[in-house]
Amino acid sequence: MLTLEWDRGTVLIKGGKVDLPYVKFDERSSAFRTLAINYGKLVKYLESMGIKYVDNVMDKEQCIIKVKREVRLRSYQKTALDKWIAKRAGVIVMPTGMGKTHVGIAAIAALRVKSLVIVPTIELIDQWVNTVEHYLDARIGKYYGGEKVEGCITVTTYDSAYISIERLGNKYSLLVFDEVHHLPSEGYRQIAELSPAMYRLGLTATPERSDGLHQDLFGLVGPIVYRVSVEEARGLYIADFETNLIKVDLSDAELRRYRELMRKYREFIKKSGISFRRPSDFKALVKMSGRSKAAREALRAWREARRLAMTAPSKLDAVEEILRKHPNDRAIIFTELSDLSHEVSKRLLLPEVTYETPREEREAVMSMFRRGDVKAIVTGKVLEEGVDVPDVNLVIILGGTSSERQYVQRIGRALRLKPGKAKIYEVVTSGTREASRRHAST
Amino acid sequence: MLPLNLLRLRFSKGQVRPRYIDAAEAEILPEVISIFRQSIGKKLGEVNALIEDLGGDPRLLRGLMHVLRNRLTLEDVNEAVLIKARLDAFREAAKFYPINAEKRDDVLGRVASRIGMSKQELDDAFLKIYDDEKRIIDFREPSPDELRREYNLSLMQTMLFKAIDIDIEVRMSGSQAKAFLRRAKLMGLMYIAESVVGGIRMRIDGPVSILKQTDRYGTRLAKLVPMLIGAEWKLLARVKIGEGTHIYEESSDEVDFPLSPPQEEVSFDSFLEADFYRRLSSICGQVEREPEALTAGGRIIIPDFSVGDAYIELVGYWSPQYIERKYEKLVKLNIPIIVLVNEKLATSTWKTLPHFVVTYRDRPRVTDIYKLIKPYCKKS
Repeated sequence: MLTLEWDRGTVLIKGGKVDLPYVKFDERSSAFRTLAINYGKLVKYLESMGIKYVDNVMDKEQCIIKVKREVRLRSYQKTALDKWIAKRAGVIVMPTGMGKTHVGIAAIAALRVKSLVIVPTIELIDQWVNTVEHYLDARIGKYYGGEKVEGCITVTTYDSAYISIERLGNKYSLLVFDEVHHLPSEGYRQIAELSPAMYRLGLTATPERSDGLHQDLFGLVGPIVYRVSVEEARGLYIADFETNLIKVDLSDAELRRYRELMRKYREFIKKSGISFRRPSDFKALVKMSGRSKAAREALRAWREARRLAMTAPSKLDAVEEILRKHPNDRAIIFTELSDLSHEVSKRLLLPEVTYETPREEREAVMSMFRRGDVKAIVTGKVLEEGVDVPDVNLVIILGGTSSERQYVQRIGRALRLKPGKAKIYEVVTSGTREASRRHAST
Repeated sequence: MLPLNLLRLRFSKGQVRPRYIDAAEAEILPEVISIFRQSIGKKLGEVNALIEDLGGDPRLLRGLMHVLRNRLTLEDVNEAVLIKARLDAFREAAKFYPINAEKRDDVLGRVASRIGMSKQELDDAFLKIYDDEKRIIDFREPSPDELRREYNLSLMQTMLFKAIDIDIEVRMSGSQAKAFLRRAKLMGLMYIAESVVGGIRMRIDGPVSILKQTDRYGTRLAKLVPMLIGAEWKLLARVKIGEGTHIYEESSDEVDFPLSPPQEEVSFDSFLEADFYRRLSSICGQVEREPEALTAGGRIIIPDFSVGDAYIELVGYWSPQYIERKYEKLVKLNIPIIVLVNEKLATSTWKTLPHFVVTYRDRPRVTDIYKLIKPYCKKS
């Protein structure tokens, strides 16, 4: 008799020959093997051919999931859920701030099977767990670097899931991918491929990827079953916003220093004959610096100049001034430069939330921020995606070199507001490349 | 092992090799070492900036810093106290939001006095929850040649992160070979092995490999490499780089590895373990992580750490099933072991284990078990 077994991300087929394009014979185990994602297809095939088989793939542990409070959905959320339930595999696209998490929880509540929720950051784990606990009565687990507890509903990160899917895969019948645009990448896609789960839900505001891999979402999760665009949503369910560009000046001494450094740098470039048409030309200079003292000096000058512009002390003044102008707003200050975010945090005694912030502090700070014990936090990339910090209506961005997606996400954060206007400030240093290179902010 | 973005490669004729340190580049090694030698008392971040200013391939420089990081001791900061003070300061500063310089001094002064610090001390320590802001207090200096060899090993391992599978032929004794394969199996890898004269030939990959070219086993393959140190070997790996797959061939004749396995940069299951390991090592010198397996009633148990003959197992807050399995194993283990267990789990049954059971509240402390391990500590 044919037997199907789970083996670390694959399904082993023992006791018979299976002739399917996605099934291969594995000499190491003297059995046929296929990727776990094909499990559903395989079972359907066996059924349709009337082939008898013993199925030991899914873990048999039972789970009880009860609904504690009804998940109240707005009409568009309800439509999205219904479309998904018709297929039980697919992606829902909805702008930030429109309640994707609630749709996800409603999906779990509808199926009531063991579920694995995969999210990009540890902050999002806590947020999902809190929301799930509010609505559902079930054993809930957190599974990531610091804590590995499984439940009927387990929330984990993409990183942990990638590593652990060989062990976790066959325990969960439903996968919920939050911010599913991460999934198609080379590594993370294996979470979908090495899981036998038949039910799959993807949630995102922006499924498109510059590398085109979003096309693979169809195979990994399912088709897009529902989509609301930002344009449709704006003004409808989420607040409108305005952006302000603040240019700060270097002090005379700083500006002199900046110009001197840049002159030194440009002179070398001219002499050396390096042409700067593409960003990769910069590498030529870096390479040269290993052998030539002059190149080393030029590079050092460039670094210092950039630092001067990025961490201009007047940026700190500008931040203070903006905060002073809006003392009652809850604010997030973004900067990708850790030196600058350290400085802001230290000078204004505002908590900093970055990848390097110890977990204990990060958790404490986030709950202080949610309770309103602190009014502003400084952060890098950690908070960019979907973290639930209600009532933020002031966003300050320091330094202007972010990709489109990050920019949208940041604004999205500000958009997750109670009605009223979101205020977005971008602070750049005038007279430097930072101001000229800056992308359009509206 | 280095972060993947520090990998340096050289392509030729469809093959790929790590770009080890060449003779010209080796000239900067003494300079790098000398910067670190003079770095005692400076902040790690400052020293890293000095190294970057040396010029040349930034990936090489950052790679060297990474390798040398294992040879540095940073000032020990009482993180728990500092975090508490920081949180207090954030909370109090919020009352004067946004705070000005004068009020800032007041707040810092008040918070500092609660933990027995001066305002200035707290101001200086404020950012020391970040490694870059900590000062270097010790540097175990390598020779330029040692540094070169350690970098080579790290680089080669990093290249294998992207390996799909690996064929190895190695001259080693039967028992060494067995240990090698057991390690591979424990990591969830699969192999086909055959003996050859004086050694063993094997192909190692994982369950998924037959279905899909994947580098998901690469990190595990890389972790096997230090077991080759000192042996004579050659290997052929298929390595995935970008869209393409490349062949990588290497042998013990072509690359200089360290003469003995360098003190490992260890990867940990949890922050708790990493933190404990760091503290234990600083007090006790050589601490082995995941030493040889012990048998317990027919099943194997690999202790978290050993110091000399003392074995230490850390039981943190994992799933109930996991904790139960661990308990079952420990009950059957005949060799005494020090068990550090979270007090939330330490029910009376745990205390009846036939071992040295010590409970902890927030995190395990070396001082709690120091008496037990002292005879094995090198530094005492």
